[in-house]
Amino acid sequence: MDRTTRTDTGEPHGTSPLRQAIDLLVGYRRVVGIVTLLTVAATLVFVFSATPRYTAESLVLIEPNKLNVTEFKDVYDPTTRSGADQREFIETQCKLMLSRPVLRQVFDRFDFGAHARFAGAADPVAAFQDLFSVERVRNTRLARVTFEWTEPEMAARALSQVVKTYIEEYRRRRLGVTVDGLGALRRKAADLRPTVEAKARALQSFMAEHNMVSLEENHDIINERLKETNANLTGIEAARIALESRCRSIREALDGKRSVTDLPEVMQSELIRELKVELTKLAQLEADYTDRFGDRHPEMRRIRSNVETLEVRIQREIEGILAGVTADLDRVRTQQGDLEAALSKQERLVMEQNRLSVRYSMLKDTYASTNASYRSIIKRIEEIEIASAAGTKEDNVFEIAAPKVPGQPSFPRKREALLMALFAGLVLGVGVSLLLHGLDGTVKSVDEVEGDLGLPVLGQVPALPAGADELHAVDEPTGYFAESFRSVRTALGFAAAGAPLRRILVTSASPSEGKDVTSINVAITLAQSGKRVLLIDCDLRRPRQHNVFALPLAPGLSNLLAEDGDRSALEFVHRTPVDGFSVLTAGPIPPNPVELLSSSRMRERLDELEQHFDVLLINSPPVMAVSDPVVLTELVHGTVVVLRGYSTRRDDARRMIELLRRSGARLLGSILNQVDAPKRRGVGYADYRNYAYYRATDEVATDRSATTKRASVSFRTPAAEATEKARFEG
Amino acid sequence: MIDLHAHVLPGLDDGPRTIRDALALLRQMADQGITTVVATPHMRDGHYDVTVDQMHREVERVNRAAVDEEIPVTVLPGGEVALVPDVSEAIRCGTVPSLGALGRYVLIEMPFQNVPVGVRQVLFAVQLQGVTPVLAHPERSFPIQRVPSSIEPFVQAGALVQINAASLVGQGGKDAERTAVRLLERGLVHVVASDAHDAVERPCLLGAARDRLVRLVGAEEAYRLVRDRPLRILEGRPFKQPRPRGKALWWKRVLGN
Repeated sequence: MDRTTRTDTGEPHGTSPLRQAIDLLVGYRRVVGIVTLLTVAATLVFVFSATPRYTAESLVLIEPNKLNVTEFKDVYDPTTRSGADQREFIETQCKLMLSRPVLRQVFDRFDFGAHARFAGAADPVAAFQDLFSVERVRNTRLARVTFEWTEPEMAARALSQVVKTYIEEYRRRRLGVTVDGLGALRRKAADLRPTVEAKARALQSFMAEHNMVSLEENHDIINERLKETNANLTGIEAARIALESRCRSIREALDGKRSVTDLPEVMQSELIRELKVELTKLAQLEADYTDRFGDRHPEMRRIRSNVETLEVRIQREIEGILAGVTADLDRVRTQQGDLEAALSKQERLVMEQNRLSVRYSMLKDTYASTNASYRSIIKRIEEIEIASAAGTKEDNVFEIAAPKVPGQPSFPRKREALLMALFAGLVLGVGVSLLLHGLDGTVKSVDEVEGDLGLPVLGQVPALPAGADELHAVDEPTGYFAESFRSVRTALGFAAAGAPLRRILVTSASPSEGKDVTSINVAITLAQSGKRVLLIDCDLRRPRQHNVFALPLAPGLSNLLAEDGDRSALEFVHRTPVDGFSVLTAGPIPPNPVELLSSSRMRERLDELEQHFDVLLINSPPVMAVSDPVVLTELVHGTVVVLRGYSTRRDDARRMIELLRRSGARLLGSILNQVDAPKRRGVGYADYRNYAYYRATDEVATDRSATTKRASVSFRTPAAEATEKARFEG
Repeated sequence: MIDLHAHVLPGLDDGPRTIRDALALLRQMADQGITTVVATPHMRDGHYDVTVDQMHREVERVNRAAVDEEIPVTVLPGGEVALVPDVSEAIRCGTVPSLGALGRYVLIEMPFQNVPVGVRQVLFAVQLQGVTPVLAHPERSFPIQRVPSSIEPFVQAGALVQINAASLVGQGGKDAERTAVRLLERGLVHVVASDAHDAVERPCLLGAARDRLVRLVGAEEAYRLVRDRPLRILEGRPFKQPRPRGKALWWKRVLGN
């Protein structure tokens, strides 16, 4: 059927894409709700079962500008200060901050290796590294370092240590000492230390052993003594030599080899001098006597014997002197021997002393030199350490904010996670809705029915409001529900134009699509427009119409068809509270409805009833289930199909249409049921009410003759109508 | 309670032999709280061909005897009509009685061995006369025991279903009990009656059955089964029969459809 033949049903809804989307989502609100709820519930479970992790954060300032360009040459220090190089420098530092050696130190220091998290890791340090992140804060010289860990205190401590280690490392690099260099120094110091100590000990024990507290002093005393002894010895030697020569002289004198007078000691003796004088005198006398008395003179003889006596006495005297001198010589000799012994002893002492002092100074020297190099290493280490710990004036890496112990876990963030879950759930829900909508083969909109099925839509009617019965249109004639059916009535009027339309079949594809409510309300609106309407319940399988009007099922149509009696068909017809609207119930349920409906009796009875009514509205079982409706199409002028929005499958509807067309039915169009979008739209509702009201008041005038008891009670007062109308028009 | 199906008339069928036996049964019923019982002797079943007149005579005699014996149970006329092809004709001619002799409901006995092909046509014919068939103890019928839901078309076509108290309490065998419970669960049962034959061999068990029903379907529905609906039937009034319901899927029950 051509789209251009679409009947104007007074369709009040806009079908803008936005509207459609909103309607669709409203229709799928339960799906959206469930998906959202599930997502949130799953997130809740996850959030409350996951082990919380804490992120410590530290800010490090890296200032490339402070560098002294001339001093640093390696890659860590830029040679130029262009922005790109600065960035590069900062980024290099960022990488170095989390470099393996730095993290390795921290990893070992806090014994992370023992932690279960790194138990199975092939490369624990790499896994450890993954827990860190560093990034340059945009447009600043700051680097933000973070560390995520399950214990908040440890997160802060480890991060703090990483930054500290990095800064120390950095300073060391600037000092030209790497960790390895410092390590080598430390090792060397450690190696030297025992040597130094050994040397000191050797020196000390040597000094103790040799009582060398006053070694120098001792040395002097010994030397002094040696000198003295030497001097003494020299004196004694001289004395001895003198004595020996005197001795020799004296002996020579005794032997007569030399004159006694040459001998001072002899001459010094008074006695000898006197004896000599006497001797001289005697010699004088002798010489005198010899010349006067001759030799034989007794005087001569006495003189001579006196001379001899004097000579002997001199001899003896000299011998005495000699003895004295010899005694002196002997004493001096003994003395010399003693001195010589003493000297040689002292000389030995001095030699010993010299030997000791040589060893001592050797020990002292090696100790001093070892100690000196040890000291220098220690000093260097200290210098480096002080420099790297305290930093120097030209320091250009600082920890701006030391990591605090994080109070809130960074993972999972409950509120954010739940908000995310809510949002994701909503998005997912909408997605699922769209998917379901795509997969859903049910009819939903007028466009769909007219477009896809090529079936004109006579009207779009809402579901019965909750709590309302099937006669809702009678109870609330100004409502949207009643208004929708009046639209259908109007559309039917147009559809009938040019051909008699006194027998109308109402059917649907499947059960429970709203045939009963639809046919009853179409009948009511037709009756309200002044027509005499008979609704025939031709659903001989599951009749329901009698329940609506609280009528007995039997007797009814099946009696009319099965009995041969000549009772008038009218006898079986029930009047309803709605003027002009009568009902023929189904009657006892026959085992063979098709047979009954296709019997000639059926045609006869319909002809009979048509004489009493303007419209025969025939309600049938669903097309897809049984062939009753196909049989019935031969008996009617037009067929109306009821489609239930969001329920009737497009395929079913298509098959139904095909079946009906093949059986030669004249398809008037469809009524789209249970599409009550306006009711769901809070804002738009009032407008539709007014609209409905407008239409209602418009038609109530013509319907007044057909008004029913039920309908009349709910009409408004003329005054209320007037104000309502005024508001609408104003 | 009102017992719609019981053999209380002496000497007519396989019910009580003597008036004494009949009174003993009535006394038993009174003890269980039954105030009214419809006498339903076998009609046209081939063995016992009780006539309507016979039935009426016996009802009157038993009622009189009950009054004499001060048994507070009223016996109403009725009959258990065998399902024969011309049953609707028999109803029209009045050769078989309706429940309470009101011409609105007829107790029809389901055959045990099989459900004949034309049964629905026969029942339709009965219904065309404005008479509603009440199917007696289908739970004892083998085809129904095999496929309990096969009773559904009858119910949909407007027939009512009566099951036996004895079946419900297990006295009719396991299959009958199982089928009875199944039918109850599916909402395919309208009336529960005793089908008592005497006070000893096949006694009235409606009291016990009612207790079981309370547990099975709740007190409200239990009393509908043994009191309200039988009363409505004996008043000759129509009632909206409960829509048979399939076994609800669990998620539909949870989500409320």
